[in-house]
Amino acid sequence: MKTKLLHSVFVILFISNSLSAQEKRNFTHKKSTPHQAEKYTVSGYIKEQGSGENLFGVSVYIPELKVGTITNEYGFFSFTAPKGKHSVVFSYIGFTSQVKEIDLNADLEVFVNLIASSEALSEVVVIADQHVKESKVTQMSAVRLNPMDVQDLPALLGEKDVLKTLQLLPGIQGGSEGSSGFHVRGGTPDQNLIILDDAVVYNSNHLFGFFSVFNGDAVKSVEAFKGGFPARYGGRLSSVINIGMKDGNKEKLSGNINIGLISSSVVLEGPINKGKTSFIMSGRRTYADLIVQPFLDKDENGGYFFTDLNFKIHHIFSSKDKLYWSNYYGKDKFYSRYLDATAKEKTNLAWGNITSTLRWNHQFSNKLFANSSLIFSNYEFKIDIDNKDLKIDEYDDNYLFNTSSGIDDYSIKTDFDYYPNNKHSVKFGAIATRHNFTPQRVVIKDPYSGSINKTQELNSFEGAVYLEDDWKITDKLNFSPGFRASYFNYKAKNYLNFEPRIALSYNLRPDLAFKASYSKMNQYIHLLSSSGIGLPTDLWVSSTDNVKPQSSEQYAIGIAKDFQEKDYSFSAEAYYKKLDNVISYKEGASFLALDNLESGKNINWEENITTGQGWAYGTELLFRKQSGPLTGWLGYTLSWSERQFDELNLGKKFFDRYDRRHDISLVGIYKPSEKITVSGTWVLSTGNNYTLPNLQRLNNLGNFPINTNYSYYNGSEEFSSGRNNFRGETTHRLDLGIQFHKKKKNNKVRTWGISLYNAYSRQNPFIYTLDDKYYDYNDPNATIEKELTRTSVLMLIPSINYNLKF
Amino acid sequence: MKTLTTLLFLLLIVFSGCQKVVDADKLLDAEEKVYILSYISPTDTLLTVSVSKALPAIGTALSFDDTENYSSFIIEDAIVSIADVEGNSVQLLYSSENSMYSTNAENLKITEGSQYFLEVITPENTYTSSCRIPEKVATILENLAGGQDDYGVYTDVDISFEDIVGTANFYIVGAKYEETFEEETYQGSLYFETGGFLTDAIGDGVILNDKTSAYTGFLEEGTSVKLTLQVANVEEVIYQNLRASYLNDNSDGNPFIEYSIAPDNIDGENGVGVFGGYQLTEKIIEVQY
Repeated sequence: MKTKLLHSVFVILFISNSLSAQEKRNFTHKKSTPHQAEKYTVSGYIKEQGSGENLFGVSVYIPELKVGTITNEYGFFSFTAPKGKHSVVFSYIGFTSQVKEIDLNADLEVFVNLIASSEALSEVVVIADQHVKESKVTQMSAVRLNPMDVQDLPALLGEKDVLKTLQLLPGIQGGSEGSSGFHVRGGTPDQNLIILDDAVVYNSNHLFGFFSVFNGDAVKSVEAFKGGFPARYGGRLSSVINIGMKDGNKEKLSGNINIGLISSSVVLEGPINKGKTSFIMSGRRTYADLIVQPFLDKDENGGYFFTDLNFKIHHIFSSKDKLYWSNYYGKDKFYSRYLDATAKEKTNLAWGNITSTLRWNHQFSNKLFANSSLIFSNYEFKIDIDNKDLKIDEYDDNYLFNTSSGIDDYSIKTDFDYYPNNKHSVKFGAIATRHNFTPQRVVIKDPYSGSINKTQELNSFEGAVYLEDDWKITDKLNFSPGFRASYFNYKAKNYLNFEPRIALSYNLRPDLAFKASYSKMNQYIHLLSSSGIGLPTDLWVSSTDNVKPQSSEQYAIGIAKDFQEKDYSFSAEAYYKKLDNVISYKEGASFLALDNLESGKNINWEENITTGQGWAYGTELLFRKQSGPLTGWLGYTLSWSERQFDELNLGKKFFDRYDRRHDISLVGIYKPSEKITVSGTWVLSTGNNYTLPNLQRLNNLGNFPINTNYSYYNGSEEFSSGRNNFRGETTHRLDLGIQFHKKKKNNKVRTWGISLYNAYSRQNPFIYTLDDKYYDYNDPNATIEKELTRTSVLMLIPSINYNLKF
Repeated sequence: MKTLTTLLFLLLIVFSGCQKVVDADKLLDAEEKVYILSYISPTDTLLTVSVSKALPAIGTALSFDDTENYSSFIIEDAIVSIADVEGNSVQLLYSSENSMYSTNAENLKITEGSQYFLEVITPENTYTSSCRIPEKVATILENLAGGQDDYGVYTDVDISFEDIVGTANFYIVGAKYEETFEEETYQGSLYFETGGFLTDAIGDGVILNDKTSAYTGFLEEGTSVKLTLQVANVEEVIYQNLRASYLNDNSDGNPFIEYSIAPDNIDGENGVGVFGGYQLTEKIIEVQY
């Protein structure tokens, strides 16, 4: 497989080189023409009309010259064009395209406001080329999600979820049923780099993975990379999910109220100083705990909630200097209280993220743009138990137990975008991060077993420099070389790794491109998880002198075809990924064994893990329609994911838990009028792998002199002959949604949304267990027998939500 | 931690649609295997090997009477032998008394550092394995502390020993008690905080320790309890195998903990199990009350 892929890559490289040489000769010849001498730079910013929100990924293109670029994350673009009159087309998905006539006889700054399609007047002509075509970009294995799709698609309990929408794309697979944890091209959830406004988000889940932490209302852009990683990204093996928050409306106060079955959210945004400074704040909270509060016993209550708060300020000093301050706070909390005459007991179990990013954009010239960021990211999980003894007697029964684990990151980062000419689009920069890990902090005050106060800390440093170029060698051939050098330090141990990245695309026809990529990645921090479902007790740890960084190499080839007239696109990719030094818990080790919280006893986490290797390969097909009343996609993934650890599964290779042979997703959003949105998704995938005992033997055989068996039962003992020896049943599910929109006075839009999760009530497996079959106690001939039980969750979950935009 | 697990289960129940029994035949491979188990040590008086079947976990009906089940599992017609590197070999014969193949330990000298070979021939297949006898832990030190709480009189037992230098070692720690009450003698085992499983991964030659508590709630003052402290230095395959059983038993019913795969060192088609060497150090102490 690997050989075949390598062969394909080299063949493409060879063809590309030959073509490049030929085109170079043509180019040299053209260079002598007098018109080529006078070229000017066109640069500027593109914003959303009405809100002043910078737009990321807008196509800026002069069709007759075949010259163009796309805007960066801050809406900035720059390209050069020859002197003369040109028509520049600005197009962006979900927005009405605009054509601007320019008379180029000097460097030019252009500021464009695009109008959202939903707000465009009917007489505005919509140009077919509404967005950057897949066949026109060198980047492969990447997808940019329209945040509107997240809002339009049906969601579990009406909670619009960015990460679950991403799971509908080929190569990005969900974990357990209903979970927002995801696996990209055979990777694990910790191999996904999830970034919110430059800050790493360590735990992207609420409620054990049923919901993601990203409040869809405050999200402006979602960009996902599954492979062919640009050099500006690093630190994870399998994917990069770059989520951008809205900057806030600079023109007027506006907002959004959403009331759902389990949570409500509010977004408020507006100018602080019109046209200069804007803010956006959003909040979301579940309220099941508040609703049940009146029905609980006065002396005893408890509950669960999760909440998210986003706050961002954007200030424009000048057209060349801008400041952004983004903050996120998210928390899950279980709590219980008990009070009587003898005791007062309080238990809290909480976990969450805090991120804060201060970014400064500076435009040095019309060709050089820079962003510098100061970033803080925190994740903490903690348990607090405080039992106070109210009895008046000789015994002191006060008990205090606090434990926490977490990670604090302090980063400084700078990124430059340089557009020297139309052939090159260069990015370079550096990042430095100090990781402060706290695998465990424990404070126990116990009158019987004594007091404990101890903290484990690991401090490490991670840094990287990178350089990448999107080089348009000819009209047909693009080449993106990239280089990243990453460095990691833990105590006296230093790791220095070089990560080459290569991507190329060759346009056989204007609407058909062949693409290939190679990327090497290193990951210096790891998540210890035995459950794989995103429990808060999953522990982030650093590479150390004993635990080497994880690394991967990924090769991918593919084609991208655009059907211009119909605005369909089709892409097919094949990939091969080799993973090294991937970590896993040793047999039987888990967060429960690792953290014996009740006793405060602590086992060194390094003793509990083992390293191995992995292989992931497969093919992904995506057929997509992105404009018109009916949009959506059909995705298919054929994949394999294998692992081998010397200390697991008797050293034998085994299929990963989330190795799934087939994954199909069909997504449709239909907007017949402004008043209604109908949507549906249907997914089918091969079942997950599970480790289950498949054999049983007599218990307590042999003559070992020490009794290690806690069970007093002397019958049989089940055991498993191999890891992931059991393939679960195929899962499939249909989700339906309908939204009714009504425009009210003062431009307010009211939306009622109804959704049905798992509409035909498919009993998809969540877990499998071995249970005792029913037997009659009174029957003297009764026998005991095990049976396999499937537990299904989330069947036919209806929801309704109300949304008001103002 | 229990709180977290309980809350997670409650949550699952809330979201649960249903539980349903499914046909495992098409999903779970469960080919019958031969399970061979033997631990040998220089202090053995009897060398024993257990040869039995491993039957499908699902769909095998078992009796509540264990002795009836033995007939379903035990293989009685195997030819079992153990040999040393010099070619001395001894055949072990089946005994219905302990349902194992055994022979007097005097028939084959088991010595520290020596390698031994096991051969089991069943009517269908031949299985082989080998083991080596590890070094013996020299001394066990103990620290006892008594006390009393609502459940009665207890003794905290903290045992420690020095890791054997120069090799990666795997230890299993245990303790037995024997007490007499109203002329009846009671015996049992004590269980240690780590489950009794210790290694020297934290450093070669370090002092390793483990703790347990012995409750003697109904003993009269002046009586004593006999405690036998045990430390076995075992081959890794024994350690990992017994630990896998212990962990699977401990986490029984928790679907969020990955099931442990017990290692085995039996060669031969469909053979599984352990043939391992160990050395046991014991220390008997009398605890006065």
